[in-house]
Amino acid sequence: MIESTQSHSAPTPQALRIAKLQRIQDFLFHAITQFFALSVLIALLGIMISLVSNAWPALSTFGPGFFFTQEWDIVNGEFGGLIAIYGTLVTSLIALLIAVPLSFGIAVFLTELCPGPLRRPLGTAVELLAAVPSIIYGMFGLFIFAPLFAEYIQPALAATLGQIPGLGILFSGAFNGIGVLCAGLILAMMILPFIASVMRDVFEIVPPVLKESAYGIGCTTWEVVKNVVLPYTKAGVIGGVMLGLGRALGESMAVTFVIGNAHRLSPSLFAPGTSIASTLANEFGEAEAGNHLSSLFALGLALFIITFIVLACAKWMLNNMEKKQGLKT
Amino acid sequence: MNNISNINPAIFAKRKRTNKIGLTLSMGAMGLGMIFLLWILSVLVFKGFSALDITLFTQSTPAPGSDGGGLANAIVGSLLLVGCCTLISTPVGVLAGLYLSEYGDRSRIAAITRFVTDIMLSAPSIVIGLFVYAFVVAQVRHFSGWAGTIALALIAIPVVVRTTENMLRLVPGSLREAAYALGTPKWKVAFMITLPDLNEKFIGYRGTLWPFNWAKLLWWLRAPKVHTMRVPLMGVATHLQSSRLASQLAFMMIEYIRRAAIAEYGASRGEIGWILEDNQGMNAIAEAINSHVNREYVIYDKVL
Repeated sequence: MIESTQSHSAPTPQALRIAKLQRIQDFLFHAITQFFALSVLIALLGIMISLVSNAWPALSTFGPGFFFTQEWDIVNGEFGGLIAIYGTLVTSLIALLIAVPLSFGIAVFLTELCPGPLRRPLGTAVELLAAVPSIIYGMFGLFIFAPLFAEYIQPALAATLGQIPGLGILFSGAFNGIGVLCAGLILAMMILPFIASVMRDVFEIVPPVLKESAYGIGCTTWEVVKNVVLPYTKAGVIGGVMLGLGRALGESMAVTFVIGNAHRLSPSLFAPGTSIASTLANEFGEAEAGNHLSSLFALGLALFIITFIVLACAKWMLNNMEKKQGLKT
Repeated sequence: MNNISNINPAIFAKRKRTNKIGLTLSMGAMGLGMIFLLWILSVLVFKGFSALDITLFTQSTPAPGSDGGGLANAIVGSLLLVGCCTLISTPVGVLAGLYLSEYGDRSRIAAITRFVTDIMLSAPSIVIGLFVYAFVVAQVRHFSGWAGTIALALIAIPVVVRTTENMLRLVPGSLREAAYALGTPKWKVAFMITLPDLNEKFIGYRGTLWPFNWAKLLWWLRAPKVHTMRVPLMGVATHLQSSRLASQLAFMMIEYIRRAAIAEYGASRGEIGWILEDNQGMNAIAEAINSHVNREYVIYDKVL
């Protein structure tokens, strides 16, 4: 007691020394961590600035029309990014359309239906699929999947979906195997494990009490998933989908193998096309300084902007949902 | 019984049907995923196995057209790249993550940095490649392993930053605030080590690890469930030990660790270790949490 009152009224020299030392240590800690946080910030600003400054020659030559013209003529130096942007968006859209329902099914199976002892091995298997490097998906797509795709699936699609008026044009043309649709399918395979494992993780955090009370009033498993699990986890589910979409948009190697790399705009999904990332991967090594290189940078800028918009949309959606929830309760 | 006859059979059948369709589709999705996985793996194994021999790891890639050779250069290159990338990205990422979690609540820089790391997390790797090309390769006029390392580090740093921050945020705020209140520097807090008691498991192994019990033990250690936890060490920073809040800090540690031990290990009993009879502070804490002495050791000594 006596000691403590003493130390409050007049700090001993030892205490002062410790305090001084601590203040210096604290200051250094703050300065060092802040320095590294700032360096991360500067790295990103550097990326943006280098993209814009390198893309500037092309953007000033071709104007904003660069993003809406489909010319890509290396010999005559005419460049436009529409085909690559279209290819990126379409392949990612196909991948999402296929991967989201499938991974939802997988997540439901793993959390609700799967017998206990199988749960871990099957979950690990899905994660294993996520660990396969993208170049292996590309090789698999080109050498194994595309020939089978051309021989069996494309004729079947042309014979069924291709006969529907209006929709048919999407499934017309020669059965090459490689093309926009094939790239979308390979992308779907790639992003499926990502979305599925995120969905499974968030489905697992639903409190059992909620599910049990729904089962208690006689809900079927499907109704529990639809009315309890999904509303509870929608933020996580959207996050998972956006993660997959981001990966699909930026994937270069796997897409380069199977998309055909043709600068041609075709309404058919069977036709070869190109995407931003695959154009960059293909042409960057050989591009000569000037309009070609600068146009490639402009494409990179476009890709960056697209992923940025996707991220911003996801954040905005999540914020909106939280606000709405706040109003309800 | 009355209730059941009230059920509209048409609706009931429809619900059951929807359920069945939904669950079947879900099972189908799982099957399809597994087929893809097995397909890819089997292609890799069957096509790649024939090329697998010792020269793959010992020899460099030959000139195009000639026979023999391996991938030693590529393997070494990958290892070098990944090693250097880890060396760069770990300190940068961890320290930046520390900043975000410790100072990030009121600082504007932190808010911007957090947003920026989110963007970098989703930035396509090829865009980062473009940046490194423009900043490194175009400046020094040749491609190099360093350029590759920098690109990889730029991809890895945001992941490290966000993970570090999220992990640090798991530390309860009240523990942190208690430490600040005591004038602790931000990097120095009290500590306590708690371990699951393996003796319970050793009883089952009859005390031997050989020949197979070590494997069983390792497997069990992935997710140990025990009844008893042991606390071999706990402590509060030296300059705080005389202050009255030291015991508060100790109580808080005990409480949080108790909760974690119950939730994660299913523990029902804890041993707080050996306390000397004249250690009044620790004895008081042990008494305050209603623990009781279950063993007493006596030390005999003799002048030699």
